[in-house]
Amino acid sequence: MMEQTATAAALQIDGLCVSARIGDRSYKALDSVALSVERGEARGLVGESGSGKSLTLRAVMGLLPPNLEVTGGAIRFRGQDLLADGGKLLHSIRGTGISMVFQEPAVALNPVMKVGQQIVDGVAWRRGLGRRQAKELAAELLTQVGIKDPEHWANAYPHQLSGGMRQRVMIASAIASQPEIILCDEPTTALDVTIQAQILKLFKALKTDLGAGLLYVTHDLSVVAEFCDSLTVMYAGRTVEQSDDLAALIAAPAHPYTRALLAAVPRIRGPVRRLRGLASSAPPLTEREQTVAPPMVPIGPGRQVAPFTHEDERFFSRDDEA
Amino acid sequence: MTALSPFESRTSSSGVLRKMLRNNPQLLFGLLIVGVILLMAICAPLLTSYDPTEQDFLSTLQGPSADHLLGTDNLGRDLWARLLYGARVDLFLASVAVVLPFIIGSTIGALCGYFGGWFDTIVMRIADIVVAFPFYVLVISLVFILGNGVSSIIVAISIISWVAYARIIRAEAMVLSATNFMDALHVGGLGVPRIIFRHLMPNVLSQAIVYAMSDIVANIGVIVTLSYFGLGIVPPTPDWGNMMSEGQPFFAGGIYTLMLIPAVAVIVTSYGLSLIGDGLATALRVKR
Amino acid sequence: MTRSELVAEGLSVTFPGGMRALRDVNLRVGEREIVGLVGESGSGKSTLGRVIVGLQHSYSGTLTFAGEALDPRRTTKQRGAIQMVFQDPYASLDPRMTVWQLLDELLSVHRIGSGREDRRHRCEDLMRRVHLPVAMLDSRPVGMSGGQRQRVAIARALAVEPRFLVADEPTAALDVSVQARIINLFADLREEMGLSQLFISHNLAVVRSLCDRVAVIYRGEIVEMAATDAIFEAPQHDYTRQLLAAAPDLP
Repeated sequence: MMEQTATAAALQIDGLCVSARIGDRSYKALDSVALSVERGEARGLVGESGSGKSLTLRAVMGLLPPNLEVTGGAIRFRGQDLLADGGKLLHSIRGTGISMVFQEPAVALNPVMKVGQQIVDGVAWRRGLGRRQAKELAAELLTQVGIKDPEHWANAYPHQLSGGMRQRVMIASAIASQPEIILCDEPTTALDVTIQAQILKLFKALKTDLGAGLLYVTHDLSVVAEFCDSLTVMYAGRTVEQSDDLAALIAAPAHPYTRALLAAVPRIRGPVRRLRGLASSAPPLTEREQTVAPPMVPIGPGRQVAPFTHEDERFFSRDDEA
Repeated sequence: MTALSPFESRTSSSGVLRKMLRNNPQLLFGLLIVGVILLMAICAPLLTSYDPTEQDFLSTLQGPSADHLLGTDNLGRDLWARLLYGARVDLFLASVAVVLPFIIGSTIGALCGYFGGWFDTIVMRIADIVVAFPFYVLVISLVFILGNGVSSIIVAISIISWVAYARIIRAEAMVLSATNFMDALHVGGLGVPRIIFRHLMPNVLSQAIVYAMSDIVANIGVIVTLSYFGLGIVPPTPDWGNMMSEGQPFFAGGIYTLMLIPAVAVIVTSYGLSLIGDGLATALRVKR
Repeated sequence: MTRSELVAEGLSVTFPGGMRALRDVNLRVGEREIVGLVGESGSGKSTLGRVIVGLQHSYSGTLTFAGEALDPRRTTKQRGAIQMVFQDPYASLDPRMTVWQLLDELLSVHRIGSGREDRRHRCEDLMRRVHLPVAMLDSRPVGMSGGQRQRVAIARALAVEPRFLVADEPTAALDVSVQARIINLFADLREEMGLSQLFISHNLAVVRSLCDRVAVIYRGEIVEMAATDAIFEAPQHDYTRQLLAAAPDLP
């Protein structure tokens, strides 16, 4: 294992800017995004569609679509800038130091490869494992993600599994290389509530067992509230608020956008109240401010918020008052 | 000119067309090639003063000259005139022979996709039987039974090639049926004919249209082949196929043009149509 | 209790192949009432919705709507009375048609409105009712956001002046922030038009914030049905308790 700097977070994103080329102009898709994830920490990254939350994950993985490029900032893994040497470091880290779990396991898994083989494919090759050892590792990983009778299921093909099991397989292949950071892109959105609860429980266990850091992207605050330690909120390509203590942020949101986002979440407990919808989501890329985002300012221990001048009501939709 | 953005949705239809052509060089070049050939076929009487069937035994097998742009054949007929009038025959026939199977096949396919059940099973078994025979064997035997000439060619091709359209449309319709698309129309209380012809078909036709372009190419091949074997267009009516077959004996004698000129015409036309097909495939990809 | 609008008695559906999707389901939805139907995938909740709107023809049991028995094959008028909003706003709208064409077609088929002018006015009213800009009548669903499309789908369901709405997971494909506005819209439709609704969802929190009563469906059977408060505060059935324990919530 590599030497670890005492102060550097496992994953640190600093002032990350990503531009989209549309026609002959370029627009800011991500503007000065900043966040960090420690080992053993689960950080929720929350925002609406188009807020740039998934794009942030893609930038970390070096999986940006061809018309998008990183134009500034740094993505540090254990203190080393992944962007510095033209992507060479990123390439060696991808899938080993950092891995990713996608929303649609049905799409992300290879339909014609047995799941056991699929899980250990990369690792077995890298570590030079023999057939028997690879099989044992696959079974071990499947057990770790809570699949009973792993020897049987290792020989199954993805279409023979239920949605929940497929996502477990996805997770098993993500943890095969014992990564320090696991990026999760809405991995439970397509699942039933009871299955979702099981998967969230699994993530919680993996965080402790592996000591991995999780960056968990979703639009649903109640999902991250279930199991994340810390929270970052994104709006229109910018990080607007974050806290190392998720409960503290939810109890007392500082940014008006966070407040609006919270008011839209229906609750299982507490008094029933009318929800407050958000105003039409973030402006399209081409209509966003082209000024550089001012950095977030600290407002407490482990707590930052982007400066805001607009009044609260901007983010609330008007039609609900009618 | 404003920047084009994937987020913009409303543009005028002429703007859409212009944008489509600019972003789609395949479609543009294909339309140019085929457009020029079509124009030449339509304007044939203006581009040559010769009658394509008029024989002139005083000037047979001549090379290109000011009088005869591409020279003459063994009967002294002007090759340029025969090429132009041949284009009329072949392109018209190839297009008509696409329209019929397109309409029949698409309708049958949509009905199969919509109704499913026994109707679908029966139609698809018939389709299986039709395509079980080698294509050319079937065409040639059908034309042999029906007799030479334009109408037999069209009928023979239609009997076979509706199958492809039916299968394409059926598959696409089944994909749509699996979504809420049809349910929403049923709940709206719309009648079955309206659902099939106003909603289902227009949304699944694009694949069939793309296929139709390559089908025209195939049809040109069939017509030319049939004529080459003496089963299609009967001489003296000019046609690229019988031009080739008539020119063949002279190929060995060192006079290549008689056979090469119609062959090049077939290749260029097919290339243009293929470009249009590929271009349309890109342009018609349904945005949802 | 209010008068019954929709009554389903002993509904059973068996799919070809023997899968029993619904077993002896009894359900009642009162006038101006919103009933939630909660269950997981494969529970039969969508099948029940499809039987009620007339998309699933083969079933046993009886359906009564506004005192009138419904046959599996319905008249256009009966179809119009019970409308449906689907989960996927991307699939359920014809992408080639403008919103005006989508709505106008339904008005014409159901002979609502006198002349084009009147239909146009009605469509403009529909747009206002679902909180969409009237100008959007002339644009196509392509390029609209998920929330906007779902509003168009709701406008289309409302166009034929229904008395009853079945909403099948109408917010499952939407962001939570957009979901809130759609839920509020369903609540307003009841307040303003007295529209009774069956709201099908796997999301308990959503159902709690909208519905008067909740039915919990598990493997084709309704295992518990009670007032919303009772379901959430004193669930009786094990499966209901399981669902509640699994549902994520803010602290």
